[in-house]
Amino acid sequence: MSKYLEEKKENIQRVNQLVNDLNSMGEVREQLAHYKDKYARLKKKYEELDSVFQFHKRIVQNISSGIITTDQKGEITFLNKSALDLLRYSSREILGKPIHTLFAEEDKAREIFHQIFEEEKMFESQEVNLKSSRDEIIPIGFSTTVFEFANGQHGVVFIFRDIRDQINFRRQMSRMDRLATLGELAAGLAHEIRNPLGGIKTSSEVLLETFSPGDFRAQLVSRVVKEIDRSNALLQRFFNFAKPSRPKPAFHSLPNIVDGVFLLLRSRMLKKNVSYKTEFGTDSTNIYIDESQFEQVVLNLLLNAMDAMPRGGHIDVISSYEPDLLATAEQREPGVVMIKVRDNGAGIPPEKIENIFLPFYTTKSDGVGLGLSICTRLLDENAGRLEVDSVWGEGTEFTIYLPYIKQNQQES
Amino acid sequence: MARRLLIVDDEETLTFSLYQSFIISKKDYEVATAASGEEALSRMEEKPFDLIITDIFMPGISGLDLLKEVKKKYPSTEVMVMTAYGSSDKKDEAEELGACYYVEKPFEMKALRQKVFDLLG
Repeated sequence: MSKYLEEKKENIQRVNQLVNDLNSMGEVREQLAHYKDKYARLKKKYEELDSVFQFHKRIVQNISSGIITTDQKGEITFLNKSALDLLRYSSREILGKPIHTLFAEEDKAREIFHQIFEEEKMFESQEVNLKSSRDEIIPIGFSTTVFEFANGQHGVVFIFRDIRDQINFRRQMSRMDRLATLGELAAGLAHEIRNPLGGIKTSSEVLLETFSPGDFRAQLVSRVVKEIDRSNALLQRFFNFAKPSRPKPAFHSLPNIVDGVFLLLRSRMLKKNVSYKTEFGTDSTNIYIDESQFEQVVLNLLLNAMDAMPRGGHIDVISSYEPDLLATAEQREPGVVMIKVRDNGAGIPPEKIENIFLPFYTTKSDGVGLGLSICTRLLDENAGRLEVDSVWGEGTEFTIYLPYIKQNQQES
Repeated sequence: MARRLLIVDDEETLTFSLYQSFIISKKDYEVATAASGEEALSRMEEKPFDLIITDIFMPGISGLDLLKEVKKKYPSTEVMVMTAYGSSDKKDEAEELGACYYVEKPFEMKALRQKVFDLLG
C-alpha cells in the first residue's frame, strides 16, 4: 500500500514539477518579451541620440565659422572642416599641436590663452592674424568660450571667421574717407581760387577791349587771360575728383562704352605697340551707370595701362557676371558685373600699392596724380568699387565691381 | 526807358569789371552793383531791375535764395547765375529755380555780355 502511495506521490510531484516547469517557461517567455521590448526602446533611443549627435556634428562641421578646441595646455583637440579648409591643414597634421602654431604672432596667442586660463577672460569679436600651413596670413575675428570636459578637465572653444573681405571693405572706406576729406579741401580751395580768377579775367577782358588789337598792351593782357584759362583747367580737374556731379544713371551697353573709349586711344596704342582684346561675358554687358563718368573711369584705367607699358604690351578688358559678390557693403542683393582691365606692364611694387589711390600721388613726370582718385570717387558715386592686384614686373589688374541690376527690375 | 541791370557779388573786382564791361559797351542800360543778396533785395524794393546777374556763394543769403525770392516777388525779372563752384549740381538747381543762364567763373566776359544783350536788347 505504502509503495502504491509512494508512487502516487512521486507522480503528483512530477506533475507538479511539470506544472512548475511549464509555469516558469511562461515567465521566461514573459521575460524575453520584456527584454525584447527593452532592447527595442534602447535601440530607438540610441538611434535618436545618434541622429542628434550626427545633427550636431554636421552643424559643427559645416558651419562657416572655424571651430578649434584645445585642452587646458592649449593643445589642439579638434578642428572643424571650415577651420581645416581655411588654414589648409589635415586633422592628422595638426591635432595635438599647440594652438599658438596657428597664429601669425605666437606671442599674441600665448597672451590670449594665458588670459583665458589664468584670468578667466572671455574674448568676444576680437581680431588677430592666423597663419595657414602655406604661411599665408589670414586676419580673423574670434570669440572664445571655456568649457568642461566629461572628465572634469577644462578646455577652450575658439570660434573664428575669415575677415579678409571685411578688412578690404574697411580699407576702401577709409580710402574714401581720406579722399572725401581731401576732396572737400581741394574743392574749397579751388572755389576760393576761381573767384579771384573770375575777377582778374573779366577785368583783363574789359581792359583788352580798350586797346587796339596791334597794341603790345593788348598782347600782354591776352596772355594774362590765357594763363588764367590754364590755371582754371587744372582747377577743373580738381573739381572732377573732389566734387563729381551727381551721377545720372541709366542702362548702357558696356561693350559700346569700352569700344568708344578704345576708339579714342587706338592710334596711340598702335604707336606704342600695345595690343588690345575685349571679352564680355554673358549677363555682364548691360550696366546701370552714369555713362560719361564711367567712360572717364575706363579711359583713366586704359591710359594707366598704356603708361605701364612704355615698350609695348597687351591689354585685356574682361567682364563677367558674378552672382555671389557684392560691389559695396551697402549693396543689398548679391550680384555684380566685374570688369577687369589687365596689362602685362611694369606692375606696382607692393609697398606702393596703397599709395596709388592717394590724390596727387604720381610716378609720371607729367602726371597730376588724380587719375585713380577720380576713378575711385566716380565708382563710389555709382555704387561700385575699384580694386587693384599687381605683380611687380609682371603686370597689373584693376577690377571694377558694379552692382548687377536687371533692366526690368529697375523699371518696375 | 533804359533797361535796368543789377550785378550781385561779394567779389568787388568782379562786380566792378563787369560793370565797366557794360559801360564801355555803350548800351543804354542802367547798371548797378550790390555786394550781397540782402543789398540786392533792398535795391529791388526801391525799384525793380529787369535782369540780375548773381554769384551763388555769398555771405548772408545765397544767390540761389536770392533767385528764389526774386522769382516769387518779381516774376518778370530775369536772373543769371554765376559761380566758382565746379559741379553741375548747382546748375541743375539754378535752372530748376528759374535761372535763365548759368555760367562758371572764370567765364568769357563777351559771351556773358552777349547773353545780356540778347535778353535786354
